[in-house]
Amino acid sequence: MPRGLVEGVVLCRVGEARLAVPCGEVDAIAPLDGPAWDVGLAFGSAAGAVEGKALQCFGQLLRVDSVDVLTTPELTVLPVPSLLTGVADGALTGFVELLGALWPLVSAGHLLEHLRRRAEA
Amino acid sequence: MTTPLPPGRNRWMTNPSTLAAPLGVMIAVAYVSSVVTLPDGTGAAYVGVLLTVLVGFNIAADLFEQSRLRTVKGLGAGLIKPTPEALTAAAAEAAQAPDTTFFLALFAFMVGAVVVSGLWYFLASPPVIVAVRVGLVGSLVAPLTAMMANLLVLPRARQVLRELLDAGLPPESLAQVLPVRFELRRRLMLYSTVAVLTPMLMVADASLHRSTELLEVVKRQPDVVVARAVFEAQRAEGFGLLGALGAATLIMVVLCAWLTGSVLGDPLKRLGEETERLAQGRYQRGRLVMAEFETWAAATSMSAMETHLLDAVQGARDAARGIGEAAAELVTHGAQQEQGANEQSAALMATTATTEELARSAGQISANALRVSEIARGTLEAAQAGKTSADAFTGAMAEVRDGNQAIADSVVKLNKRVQQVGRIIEFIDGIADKSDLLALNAELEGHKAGAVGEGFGLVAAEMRRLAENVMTSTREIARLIDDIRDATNAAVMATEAGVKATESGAGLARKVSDSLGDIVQFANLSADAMQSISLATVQQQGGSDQLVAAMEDINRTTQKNVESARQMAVTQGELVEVSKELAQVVDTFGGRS
Repeated sequence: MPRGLVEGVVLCRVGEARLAVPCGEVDAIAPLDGPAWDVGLAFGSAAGAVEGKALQCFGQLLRVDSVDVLTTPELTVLPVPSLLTGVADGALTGFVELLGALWPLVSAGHLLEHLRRRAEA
Repeated sequence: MTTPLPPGRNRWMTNPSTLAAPLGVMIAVAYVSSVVTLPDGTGAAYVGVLLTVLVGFNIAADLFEQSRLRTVKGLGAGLIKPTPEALTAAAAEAAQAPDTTFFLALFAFMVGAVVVSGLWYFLASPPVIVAVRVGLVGSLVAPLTAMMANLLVLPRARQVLRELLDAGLPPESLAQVLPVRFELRRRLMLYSTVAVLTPMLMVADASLHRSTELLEVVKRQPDVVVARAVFEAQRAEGFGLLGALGAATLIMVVLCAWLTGSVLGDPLKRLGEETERLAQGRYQRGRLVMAEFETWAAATSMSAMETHLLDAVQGARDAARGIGEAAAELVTHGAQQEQGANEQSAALMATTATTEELARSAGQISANALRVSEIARGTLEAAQAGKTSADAFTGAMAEVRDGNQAIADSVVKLNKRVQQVGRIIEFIDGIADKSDLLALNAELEGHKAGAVGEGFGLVAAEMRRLAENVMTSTREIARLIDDIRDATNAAVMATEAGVKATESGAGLARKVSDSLGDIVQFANLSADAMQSISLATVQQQGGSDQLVAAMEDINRTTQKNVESARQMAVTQGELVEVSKELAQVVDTFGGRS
């Protein structure tokens, strides 16, 4: 896939925050019935609701409030401003414009790494 | 109030007897010295023996007398308490003292004369005839001495008896101690005999002795002339002696008569004074004149009579007082009776008016009772109708209660069905949720598959929308089910409240029915009672009319009673005056006991 484009994203909502995860990094969408990393911690928001769904990525679960799959074939990825480079251990990879709003595009692997470090700190 | 017996009354009472003995001895000695010629050399022995015997016998007699007055002595000395028994014993001793003194003096003097004669004979050896004559002279004086002792002791014994009465001796006890003896005549004869016979014997003895001596002188003188002269001289001397003896005899008789009269007449004098007191109406309980023999009988009888009179006077006084009080009470009661009669008359008039009013009221009550009876009948019918309605209402309430109960049961069943529907909806919602998740994963996989999975992804997206619609619908249904559950719960509670309300209503209806039943019963009774009241009131009206007539009769009688009470009050006032006069008459007898 050429640089600056992404093909298919999973749109997630965590509290008032929103983020998009490339479909290729998501193994499956599972019911929230076991231990999972709370994505809201990475955005400074409070812990999400008990009910919700989990994104299964790299063998681990990321808990979010709601999940949607965008069927648009290709999306333009806006670059990360230099001011925000390195945020969340480099999990923010860019922004996509969807549904009249700007969604941060997040790397599931970096996000998991960032959450593990926070937990260890 | 009592006065204790003075001390030493025992000796004071018998002292005269101690004086009487020397007096008798003096008389005897004077006679002997005048008539009897004692042999030469025997006079001193005579006098010594005489004095010795006199003192010894006097002491012995005194000791004997005092031994018979122990109780009197103890009471006077305070050694014996003045109980009625002790006072009675002392009275007995004092009453016997005069007789004791008499017999003791008589015995002692006669024995003493014999002893003097015998001792003198043995000591001085006078002629036997002289010694015997001296003894006889002493014995001749003994009755006179005893009589004097008796008469001297007697007044003092009376005085002691009076003092014992003052000390608390009951008069009736004294009457028992001093029994009545009708011996006055015999005693007077005895005293007279002694008083006359003793001097007479002395004169006779002296005359005989002088005659004998004169004959002896004449017989021993041979010369007739000398004998005549001696005879004349002796005769003249004898006349002188006899004259002296006659004078002494006269004095002795007069003294004995005076003493006897004084001693025996004193009680009569006192009786006269007591009689005078009684005649004046000055009665006094317990007055008793000390006396002997018939005089004592008169004294005791007079005392008893005075006691009886005092009792009678006291009874009359009490009766007069009682009559006075009763009359006063009668006056008071009469006034009260008069007042009561007046009040009774007024009350009767008021009662008559009230009775007439009562009769009129009875008529009105009778009419009202009939009306009330009719009203009670109407009430009875209304109550019976009300009871029927209440019974019907009770049945309807039971039906309502059953219907509510059925509704409640249906609502409970509906609630259960709704709950079952809810569980089904939850099951559908779960399926939709899983379907949504599966559709998400299918869509994700479809995107991952690229162009090949594009159609698959579209289908998955469509399925996901369906699942979401289903989930939306199930949530709506769940909300509706919640609403239905709330509504059914409210319906259950409402029906339960309705059941309770119908049960309460049914209970109230039963109570109303029961109350109406009681009302029916009471109304029935009231109707019967009103009929009875009506009948009774009619009878009462008739009775009231009769009562009015009777009250008028009673009123007339009461008016007569008022008049009688006034007359009775006047009579009772007169009775009070009479009772006062009677009390004054009784009080003139004095002698309050």
